Amino acid sequence: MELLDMAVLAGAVLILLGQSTWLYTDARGRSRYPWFWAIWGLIQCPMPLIFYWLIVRRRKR
Amino acid sequence: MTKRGRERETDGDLGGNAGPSRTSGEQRETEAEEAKAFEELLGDSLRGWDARIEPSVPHLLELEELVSSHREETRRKLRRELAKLWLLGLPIIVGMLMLFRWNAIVFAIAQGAAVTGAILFLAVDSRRNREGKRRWSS
Repeated sequence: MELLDMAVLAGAVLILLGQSTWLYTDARGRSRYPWFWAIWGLIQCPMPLIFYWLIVRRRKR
Repeated sequence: MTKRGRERETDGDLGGNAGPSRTSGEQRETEAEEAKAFEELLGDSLRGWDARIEPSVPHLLELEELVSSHREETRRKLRRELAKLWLLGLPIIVGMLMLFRWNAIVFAIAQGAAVTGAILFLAVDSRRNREGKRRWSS
């Protein structure tokens, strides 16, 4: 595996973990299925963020 | 029955209008007598009882400690849950990456399935919420 590949993989892991952690803490504070958002946030990016923004953050305003 | 009790009963029976009613001066006198008798009989005991009872007012320091311990407990709980999430997350992410390296089409199908599942879950939840609200308001 090349160095670039490794860097991309590490970046993807960090982004997914960061996204998932943020989704979990924010959804936990709002009592909106934190584990659902966190697990979805581990699988892909940025769909969970977009949906979270539309469904939880925007609707609450 | 005491004399006073009998007097009271008689007053009640007559209803105040029937017989000669007591004047307000007499009534006041009786009340004062009763208060004096009550004071003589129970005054010291009541004062002693009041003095013995001290409401436990929590000290400010204790309250601050309570709040800080609660905050610490909440933080510890969050850290534990995040550790669980990361432990669960690493195999999921590694699995998805391995899937991508093995077969991009299968990876795309898995991604599509994840989105579909999530949207279905959100739709069902939204419908349940709307039904609950409608039932609550009707």
